[in-house]
Amino acid sequence: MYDEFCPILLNQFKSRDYTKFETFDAALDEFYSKIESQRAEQQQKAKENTAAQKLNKIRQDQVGTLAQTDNTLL
Amino acid sequence: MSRHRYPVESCRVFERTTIEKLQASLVSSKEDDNDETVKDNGNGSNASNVAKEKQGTQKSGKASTLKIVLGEALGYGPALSEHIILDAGLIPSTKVPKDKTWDNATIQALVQAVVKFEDWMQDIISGEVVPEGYILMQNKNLGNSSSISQPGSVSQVVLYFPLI
Repeated sequence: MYDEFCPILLNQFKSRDYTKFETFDAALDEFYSKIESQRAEQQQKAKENTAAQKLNKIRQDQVGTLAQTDNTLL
Repeated sequence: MSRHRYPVESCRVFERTTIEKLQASLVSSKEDDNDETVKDNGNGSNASNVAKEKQGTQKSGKASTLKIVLGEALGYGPALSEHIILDAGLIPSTKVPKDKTWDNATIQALVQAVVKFEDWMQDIISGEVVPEGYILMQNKNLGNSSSISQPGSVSQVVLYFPLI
């Protein structure tokens, strides 16, 4: 996902992943044409992950409860 | 850059930094460190006054580093200050010497790096060169994002640029 844009590659950022464009204008066009959808996608993924974690927790709780019930019946 | 307010109050006419101006600014920055009540000494360059006043209140209690001092001297912001220092082959977190004098080799290296950057900026301003563009990707591990920036330094990335 895009983070930020700049017209000069700062030395402190050279170790980061980046995409180079022929012109600064091209970089801006690319950045602003995709950043909104990327943010929306990231938020969606975060929601999905939260829901999946909740589901897993419920599943584990129920498996635990089932095991306890089995032990009690035996 | 895209997430922060543009520091309009720092906008000014482009003026090249000479070695004398850089040295004077480094000295005046040190004086400011010693006496924080002095905010307008009138000796510093016009370019650095705004940055000095803005940053002077933020770094009270912190040890001055080359990055902070050069940032105040040039007025281009902390990100470009760090860039220029790295370009000069120096370390941004270098502490201000106790005898309060920067050696000649350091100043020469800084001057060359500043000239290189200002050559680039002059070409952009004059329209001779169309700047390239770079899009940086987010770090996957945000917790370990800053490998070069030092703790205690100004972490906000603001790139001052002559063309809005």
